[in-house]
Amino acid sequence: MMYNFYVERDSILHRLDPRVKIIASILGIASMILFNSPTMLFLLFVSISLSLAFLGKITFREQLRVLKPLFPLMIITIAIWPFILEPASFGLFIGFGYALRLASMAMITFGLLITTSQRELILGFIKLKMPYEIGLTLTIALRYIPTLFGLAQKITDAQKSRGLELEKGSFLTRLKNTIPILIPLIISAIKTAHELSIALESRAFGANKRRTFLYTIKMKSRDYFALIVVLFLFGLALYLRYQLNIGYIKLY
Amino acid sequence: MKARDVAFSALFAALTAVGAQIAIPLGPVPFTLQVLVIFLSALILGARLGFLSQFIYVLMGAIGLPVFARFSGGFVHIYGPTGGYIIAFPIAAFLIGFIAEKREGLVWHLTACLLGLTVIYLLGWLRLGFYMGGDFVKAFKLGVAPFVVFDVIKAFLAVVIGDKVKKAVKI
Repeated sequence: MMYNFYVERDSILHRLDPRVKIIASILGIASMILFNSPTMLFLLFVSISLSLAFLGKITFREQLRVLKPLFPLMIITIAIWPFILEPASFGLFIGFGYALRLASMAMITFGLLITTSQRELILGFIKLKMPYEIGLTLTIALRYIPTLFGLAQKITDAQKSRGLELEKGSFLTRLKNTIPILIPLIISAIKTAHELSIALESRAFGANKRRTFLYTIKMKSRDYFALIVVLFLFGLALYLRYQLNIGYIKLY
Repeated sequence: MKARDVAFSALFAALTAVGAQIAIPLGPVPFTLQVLVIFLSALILGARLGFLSQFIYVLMGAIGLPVFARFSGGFVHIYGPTGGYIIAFPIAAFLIGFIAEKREGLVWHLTACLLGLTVIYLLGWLRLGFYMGGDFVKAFKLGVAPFVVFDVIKAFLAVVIGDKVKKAVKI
């Protein structure tokens, strides 16, 4: 399983300051919730897809690959709404919009992850005043997922070789059979955490309140320009929605 | 946060991500160990760290890492129909940990887990109901009823495992 989506490319989105990209993503998701008219959501979806393709050099094929796991959720969403709203065709229309809303949200987070390296992303969050410890914890957790996953597999194999059967019996027996896998897994996680906290402590973690960074990020004039564009677009979205009442359909 | 807090919440956040991928094959709906690990992190780590580990887990998913069940991730899943359950994880972990810290004994721990489960179902059900345009009866039939029995069994299991782990290692 991949836990790092970042792909090194030379594009405008790749070069942009992570802070601007984070703010843009948050505002992008917020504007997705702002509108519920399928026409508007469709326009937003298309513009996100196009800007990822042209500003971020993310091909449409890559975009489709991200959306694929979301298809079941989107289909369910489309299928539910004709039963809720009258007439059914109107419900279908609304459901289609909501499915697009989900797709757009996925594209926004994906766009952020594929154009920003993990280090830059976390640095960006920290510079936006997220506590450093949260960023560190997140990185460590991410680092240990594959390790624990492999360990779980190893323990399962070891217990199977001792005669543990996971694919037999009622649900209750199957669930009970996970005990000999979970206990060693959790105990080794706890032991790792102990060692890790000693390692952190011995490197004087938390000794200094103010941290410095080996690699740091700096806003350049093009980053400020991009930020202004993003804020302007969000302002425009708010204006359309609340002053002109465009893009919102009263459902009930 | 101290070094110990960072290490333990990181490892248990990772553990939850792993638990969400371990599926027990039974019929069309795969039953994952996600909820079981959430109970366990709360029982073993207590309120504060239990909450923190689950908060980190949800945060990882929110920024798009594939840590939720079936390797899914992204803000969509927090906003989407099943988002209520996910949002409830840290809250449930805090509640379970809080009770487990105050009271000894397996019965109390089981009560704590069941209360936590109630919080998860309540928020999950409400969100699903709103997503389905206010049809809370249907939301109950789809999102709560089919899973309750299995999750109650998981609560029993969590109490047993948590007790054994705590006896085996010092936290």
